[in-house]
Amino acid sequence: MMTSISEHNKKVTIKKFMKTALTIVFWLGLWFCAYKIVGLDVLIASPIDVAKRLLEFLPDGNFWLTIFNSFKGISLGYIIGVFMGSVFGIITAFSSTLNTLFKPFLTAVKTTPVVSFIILALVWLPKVSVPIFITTLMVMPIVWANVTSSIVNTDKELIEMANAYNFGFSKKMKLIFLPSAVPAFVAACKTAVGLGWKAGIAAEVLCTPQNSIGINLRNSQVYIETVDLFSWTVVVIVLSLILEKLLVSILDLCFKKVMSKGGYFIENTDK
Amino acid sequence: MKIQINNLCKKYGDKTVFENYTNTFDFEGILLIKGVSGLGKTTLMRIIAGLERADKGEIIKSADKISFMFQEDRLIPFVSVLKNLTAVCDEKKALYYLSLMELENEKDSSPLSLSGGMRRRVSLARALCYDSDLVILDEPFKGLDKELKIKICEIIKNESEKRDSIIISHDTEDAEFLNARIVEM
Repeated sequence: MMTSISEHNKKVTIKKFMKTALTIVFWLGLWFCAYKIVGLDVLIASPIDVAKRLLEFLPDGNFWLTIFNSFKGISLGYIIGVFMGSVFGIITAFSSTLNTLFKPFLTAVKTTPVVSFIILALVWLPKVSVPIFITTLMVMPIVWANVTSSIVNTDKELIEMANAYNFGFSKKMKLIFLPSAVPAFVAACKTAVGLGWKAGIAAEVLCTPQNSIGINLRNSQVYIETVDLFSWTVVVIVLSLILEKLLVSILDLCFKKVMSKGGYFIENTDK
Repeated sequence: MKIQINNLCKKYGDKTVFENYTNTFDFEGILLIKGVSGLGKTTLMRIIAGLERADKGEIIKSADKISFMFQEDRLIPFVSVLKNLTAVCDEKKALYYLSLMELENEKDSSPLSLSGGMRRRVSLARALCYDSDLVILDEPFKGLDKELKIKICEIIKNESEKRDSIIISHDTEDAEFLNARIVEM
């Protein structure tokens, strides 16, 4: 029985791997066909040239410095966004006046194209701070809205029970409000990773800070280096995937540790 | 314990629950409030406990702190059974009441992992271990079998020697188990 289960699992893994490999081959093939049909390196770079360029990047110290700089700025923006979103989320959850007051701001941030904020930030801030500011601005409303709504929608019966037994504010927060909000908070943090990364890179492209992914994308466009443009785009996609997986794993781990240390029974939910 | 209710009025939308309701509950030990559903037993107790406001009228009571067991268990699902109790009293007291309810082995369990009857007993333990002048128990025997109900009645009877209790129930048999005075609504 054990053997048949492990054999079955092995088959499932192989099948999954084959599916992924075929998908990658399909899209690379499609890219190659498009390259051949168009026949202009300036418009579509060859996947082979891009692969060669990526291999050239790997031993280059500047490449890793560039990635580190972009990662550092965007991560800082992400952390500030999560922190500010959590604090403001809690504040507006308990004050309907402040909630009403801040609603137009949240709506404006959500509906305004990110490029408008980038241009404004370029006017207000030194260009090295722009990606940090933009990432914060994109991450904060997601965390803010999720934290507020999860606290506001906390089980009313539990709140009434807490009032009946004279729970103080800190006890209510610790036992009812925060544990109710944690799954939505974690889900918001996960959603915000991809969005923050994309907005941060977009900000870098427009404000071109030294040794950043954005300046390399911009230079590739200015000097019509299509192979470089494609290569850096591949780098952005791969980093985005790695960053998302990494941060989601870190968040899950922190979530489980904090919850078990506090003696909470909460299942993580991917909302 | 004396609770005086004067000209109480309470409406939910168009539905009138109380219209100038006046009554006095003067009792020692256990008072069992009996009546069919929809008469306002729970509403009256919620108003007495200060969980709800009356539209008009007044309630004069000699209890400052009231312990209220809800019809629903209302246990905090995020923390253990013991933490649900230590939220209202110290650990020693919480463990004592858990052992009275024969739930000491479940102290570290999640409330969600307990059966309905167990959750009811945890909810009752929480109401009893809260330091109060009066205990109000709304349908405390819901979901309990007869054997367990008799055991719980004994615990409530012993507790009523320390402080008075009001119990809401549909069942007259409960009054016999509890040696309670019955008030029909």
